[in-house]
Amino acid sequence: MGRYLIRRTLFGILVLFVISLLTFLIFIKLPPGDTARRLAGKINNPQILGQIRHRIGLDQPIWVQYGRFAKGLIPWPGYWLNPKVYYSWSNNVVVRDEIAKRIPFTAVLTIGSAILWLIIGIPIGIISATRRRTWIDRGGVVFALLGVSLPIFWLGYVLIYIFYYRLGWLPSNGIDIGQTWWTAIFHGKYILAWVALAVTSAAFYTRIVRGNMLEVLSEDYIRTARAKGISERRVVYKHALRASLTPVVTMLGLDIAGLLGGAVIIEQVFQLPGIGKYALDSLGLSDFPPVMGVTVVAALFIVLANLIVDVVYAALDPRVRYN
Amino acid sequence: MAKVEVEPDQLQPAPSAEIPKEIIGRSPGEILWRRFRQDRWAIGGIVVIIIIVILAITAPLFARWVGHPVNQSYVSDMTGVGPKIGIYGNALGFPKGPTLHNSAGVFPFGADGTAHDLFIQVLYGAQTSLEVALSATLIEVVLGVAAGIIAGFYGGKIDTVISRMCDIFFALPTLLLILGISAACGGQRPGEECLHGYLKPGKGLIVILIGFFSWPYLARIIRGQVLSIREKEFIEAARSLGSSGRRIMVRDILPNVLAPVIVYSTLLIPTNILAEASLSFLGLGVPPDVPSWGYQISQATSLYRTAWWTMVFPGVFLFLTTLAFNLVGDGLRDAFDPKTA
Amino acid sequence: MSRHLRLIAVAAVLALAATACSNNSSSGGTTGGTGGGGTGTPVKGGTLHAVMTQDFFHGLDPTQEYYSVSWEALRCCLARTLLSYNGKPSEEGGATPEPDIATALPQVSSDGLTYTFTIKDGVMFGDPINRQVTAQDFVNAFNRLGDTNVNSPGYSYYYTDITGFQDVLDGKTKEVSGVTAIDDKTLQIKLDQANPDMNYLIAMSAITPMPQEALKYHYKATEYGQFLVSTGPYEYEGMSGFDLSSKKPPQGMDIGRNYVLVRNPSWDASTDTLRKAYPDRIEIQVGGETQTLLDKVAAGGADWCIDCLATSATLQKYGNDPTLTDKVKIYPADALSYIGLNLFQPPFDDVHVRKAVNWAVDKNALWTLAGGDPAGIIAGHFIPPSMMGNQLSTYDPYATPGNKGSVTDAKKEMALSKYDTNQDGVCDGPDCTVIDLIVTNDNDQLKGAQILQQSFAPIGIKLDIKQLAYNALVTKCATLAAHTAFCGAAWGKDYPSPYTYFSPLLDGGENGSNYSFMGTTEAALTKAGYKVPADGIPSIADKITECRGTAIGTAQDTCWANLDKYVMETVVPVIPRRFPTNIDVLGANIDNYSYDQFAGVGAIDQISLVNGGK
Repeated sequence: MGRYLIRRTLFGILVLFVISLLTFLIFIKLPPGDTARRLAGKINNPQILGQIRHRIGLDQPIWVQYGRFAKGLIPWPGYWLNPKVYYSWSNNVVVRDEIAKRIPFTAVLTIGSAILWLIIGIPIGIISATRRRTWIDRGGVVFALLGVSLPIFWLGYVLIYIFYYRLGWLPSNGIDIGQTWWTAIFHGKYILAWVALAVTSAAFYTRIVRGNMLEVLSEDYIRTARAKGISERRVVYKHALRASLTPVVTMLGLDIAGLLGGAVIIEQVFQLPGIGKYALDSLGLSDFPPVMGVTVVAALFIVLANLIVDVVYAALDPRVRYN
Repeated sequence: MAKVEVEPDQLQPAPSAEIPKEIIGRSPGEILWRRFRQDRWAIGGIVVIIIIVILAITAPLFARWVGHPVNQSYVSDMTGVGPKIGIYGNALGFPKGPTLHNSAGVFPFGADGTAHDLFIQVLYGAQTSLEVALSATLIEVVLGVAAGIIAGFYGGKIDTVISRMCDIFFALPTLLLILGISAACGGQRPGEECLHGYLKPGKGLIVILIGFFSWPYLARIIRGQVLSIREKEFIEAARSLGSSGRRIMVRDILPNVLAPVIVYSTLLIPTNILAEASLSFLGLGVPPDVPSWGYQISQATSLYRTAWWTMVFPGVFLFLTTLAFNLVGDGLRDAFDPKTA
Repeated sequence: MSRHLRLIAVAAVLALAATACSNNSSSGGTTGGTGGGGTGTPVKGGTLHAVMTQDFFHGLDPTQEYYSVSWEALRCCLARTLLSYNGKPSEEGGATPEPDIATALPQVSSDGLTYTFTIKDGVMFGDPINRQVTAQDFVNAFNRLGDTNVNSPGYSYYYTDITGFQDVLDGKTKEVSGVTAIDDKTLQIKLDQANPDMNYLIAMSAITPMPQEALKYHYKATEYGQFLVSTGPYEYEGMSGFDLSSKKPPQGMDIGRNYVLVRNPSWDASTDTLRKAYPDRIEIQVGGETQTLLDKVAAGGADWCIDCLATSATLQKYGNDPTLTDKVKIYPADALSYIGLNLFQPPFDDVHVRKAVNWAVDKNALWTLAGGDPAGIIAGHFIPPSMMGNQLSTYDPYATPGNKGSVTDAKKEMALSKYDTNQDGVCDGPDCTVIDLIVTNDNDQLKGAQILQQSFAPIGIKLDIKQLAYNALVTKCATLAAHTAFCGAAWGKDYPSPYTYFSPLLDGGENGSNYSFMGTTEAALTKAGYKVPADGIPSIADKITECRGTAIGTAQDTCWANLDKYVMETVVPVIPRRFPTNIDVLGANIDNYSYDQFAGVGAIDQISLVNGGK
């Protein structure tokens, strides 16, 4: 187990390295045109451009420039998103601080909807599998397909229209004056976003729980259990469920990590000031350090989630052995 | 989050490529079709897809028939006069809704914010959507199948490299990277495009971005399939007859992984349709003069309270199309693998 | 750069609500008046809940901010200047600088080269300094404006007539030699050459007093604004007892999220004749989609959206409800929405092609889609008439029936060009077939681009629309070497003089906002890969100098009007689209409203709440 973890950690570092290279290339080297000129605005005599180039290190050799950005990826206090490099080109705000202020919004959004989609997705999956080929099963399958097929941004606006404009039951999108990420919960600001995310994601869970359940139920040890006279309820809920939920852990971990780093569309539709919206807004201003910062944080989440998922997986499923 | 890339879970319950052999006298295709045919939902999906494809292909005919070329504005005919704003005069420019009697002809879906015929725009949107999604799927299938077969067949170091590469791809925040590249390369004039002209703005860029970032999912599945096939007797036989590796991969292995390839590429199509729509919704997809459902929906966001048609028609078309492909993909999966049906 | 951005934002507002009243444009302002709900005398008190779709650009750093909403926030509330504006429309003197911190307008020497200001007694810095403002505080502001480490994007180029200012810009010295504090109360400014716009320049936010006590800890760009020690009627919440050496801004300054302003205890109303300062407290929340924020205002969740674009949904709602119509406030924005043509990029290097596109464009469609009457007037030329004493208000050298564009006239003009070899009125060369039209992700611009595409097709000019982020777009449009053929843009005055149009937009070649590159040099053209035109490089530099030498008033207005005509008929570097308006939609709690003509935004300090917010 220990060696395995070390190997996974080393792999995580490799991933972060690749990310650093990719983000550097995409955000600093790919955009044609002169970054310094972009920052200079109206006054762009050669001397000012020179100063700006010097300030953001564009006058250095390319590997030095890369080094500046790459150092910020080391998840260690002195290095992590170094404020000297990772600050907004448009308003000089330090990316690290801004991400810290925004991440609670993204976290509440993600965790809330994860709870909701598990509550919806898993039971439907179980019922579908245990009542196979009944109308309930058909209904479950159709629900899954509808959810997978819905464009989330469109669903978001439809929900806002119905529940805010028409019925007036829920507040509009956007956080109001004086609300924090915490009080916004009680003002119902996340509800529609949770629902939209949950509807489109629960479907995946329904599908996977149903599939796994069907597979497990046909396995030998379940048949043995049944033969021993253990009640069907017990068979389903004690033995089959446990085995079929383990893959759900993997998925959940990766989904949550993915959303923490990139709930761009849902945050845009519901105007939640999370880090996805931060990245999108910064892209609109060609302000790349925040986008790079968010990308790096997102990658870190995914790497960590992979690690955690592996550990939890081992704990849940005794068949898994690491070497 | 919009599922811009295929969720790994879609791909986990790998269907078995083995077709039950005890039924004699029917070809595997026949068996498949008999099973698939019983799935009324999937048949419905096929019908919807056929209709959408026909509508997309015949969009220019419709445009000629109603006399409204794509991207043509009918400002004087299809925008209305709003209320008087105090002393400041009437507000103008509100799109008119669906009408069969207009000085400029028939507008079954009404007009969008730029006074285009929304019906024609939506039909052309189908063209864009299918074109981008199918091309991106093709890239994914080619790359994914090739990488998967090579990794599974050769094993060893080659396998390790390809598998690690896939792992790295899975750990990338794909959406953010796609948005970044699209923002950087989406507006360059001829002669100064990204990567010396290989990444030209337009539909092609979006196709490449979507395709490039999601092939590893398919590669991983195919690799798994190939690993089990590799040990089968007929491969051993081919080997002992002196067939080259390339020949075995193409002649013997490829046909045996076709089933999962078909299922998963069908399921990739709706994902790619949503991916294109999401990017265009965010303003980082196809150029604005290429009709796209995602772009039409983003234009509708400030209009739809008074002009419902601008939101409803592109949205419903987008939803129906993805649903249809998902129904068919699901039906195919069940047909190939009745265990989970 | 933000200057453009604002305009794009404003233009979008205007987009849906085009410009001032087209039939009585001259009195567009007056008709609006000031009263909002009109319950009589405005009452002090209450909390103003304002919202904005996007943040100020540089954390309210007075040196850097180049954005009208920022200018308004600084003018109204935080940063008094020697001269300033009264926060009213032109008709009520809103475009004329008046004494603010200075006791009177400056004493100017007879040669026009020395300006002397006397500082009023009792003008104090707010918490935590609470001391009298001195002349040295202004010297600091000039020095900082010259420092290229902190002044971009800024507008420091207007100040180069001041002795020694250029040396600071060039980095030769840190102190502007021409600006001196004679004593605590007297500030003297020496010029190398007379500048008729000095009063306007002194009234800009960058020339607000900056105390050494704050600069010594927070000199850096953008950072200074977060620790701004107020001179105005308000200050950031938390400034009372604040430790200026702290790294964390006061609680009322949360950049990008919200700004909370409370009364500045050191502000003495008797020293300030310009500001009303009705609300006790101003909360500004940043972020949100336009429609969401407008709905919030309509539903009472906020009082006012400072930078919102009135959408068609909102205009319809307010227009259809007689109790709401007087909550809509429309004034000329002194702005121009236009398309800049690159004078050296084929096919626009031929003046006939530039004229042809001016004939071809369907301005009526652009204007209608932008919202019609409330969104502004269709523009027939370059300078908003409101800025030239309403001269040229009916002038349009490319007038067509109903402003719908004329294919016949366009073809006639095109046939004269060298790009129409067979003279059938359709552009033939490959230069005409793919021309990139680059726009930002802005609804108004996108709609406009598609109308242009349609308008130009009959004369053989095919447009390829591409989308870019705003900053990337500006870079491309303003860079000669990018070979951008034309760009859609919008522009607002920097101060009330046509000079702030002609100079940044049509002079000095590659200056960052001149998309036509008029006045560039042969060397620059060759370097960027253009052919140098045989008939010389067009320039209006001399004419600009001539007009600036004319006395301010009708004489100068006429000079500018003639220059406008010259530009439109001889050089044709633009396609003017619309002179947009500013439209504000107010919540039910707002009583008094006034339009600040200087910034082109509602005056924040003149807004009062019904019954003082009780």
